[in-house]
Amino acid sequence: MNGLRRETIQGRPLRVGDREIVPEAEVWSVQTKQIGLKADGLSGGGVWWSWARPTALIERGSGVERRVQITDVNLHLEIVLLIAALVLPVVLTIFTRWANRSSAA
Amino acid sequence: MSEQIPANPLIENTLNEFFAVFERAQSSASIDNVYGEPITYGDSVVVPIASISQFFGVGLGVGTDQHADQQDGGLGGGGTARVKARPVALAEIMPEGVDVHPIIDENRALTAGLLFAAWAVFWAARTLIKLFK
Repeated sequence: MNGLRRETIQGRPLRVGDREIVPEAEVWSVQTKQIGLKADGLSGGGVWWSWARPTALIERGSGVERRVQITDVNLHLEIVLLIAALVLPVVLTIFTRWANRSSAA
Repeated sequence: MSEQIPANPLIENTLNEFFAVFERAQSSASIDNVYGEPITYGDSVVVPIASISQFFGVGLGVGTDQHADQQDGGLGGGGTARVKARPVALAEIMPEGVDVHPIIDENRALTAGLLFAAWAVFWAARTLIKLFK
């Protein structure tokens, strides 16, 4: 099926003492397929991409369940810098217009 | 007018089969790739954690030369694949609890920082030029 898909998957539990640790990950995948039919032949192709990222370790033991979140620090840093890179020109453009208007007045 | 040839299920079936096999393999392997083999270290168990991206592309073609005296034809195809893993963290499972230690990729952080700095300098210079022009 063509399109974007997201699913949360859990791995085999890891037993440490009386506790059970279940790894959890989120998988994003995109696939597209195309088949072309012409008078002198057939052609087809497709691409498939997937990204699996860890989300949490679920700790179970003595009737208690706890989620330990896994943070991708590098990805967070990149997202913050990307947002800053998008906001910076907007802020500076607004500032320039304001400054030019103030000096003209 | 070009002659319409009957739809051959060969390519469609091949592609569908290829994708199905890849998808089955991927969904079972994903979690095992993200969470590496646990390493026992004293009382603790250390699990390496990574982010995995996979890409593959495939193309196939069947052609026939219907203008030739004897019908001629051929089949060709190609493909590419890439798997990339980036370390994200180390999970330390101790008797007293689970601790996750993030891994900072210094090269990646430095590259992102330098790109942002260059972008910021460009916009700062542009703003100053516009202000004092």
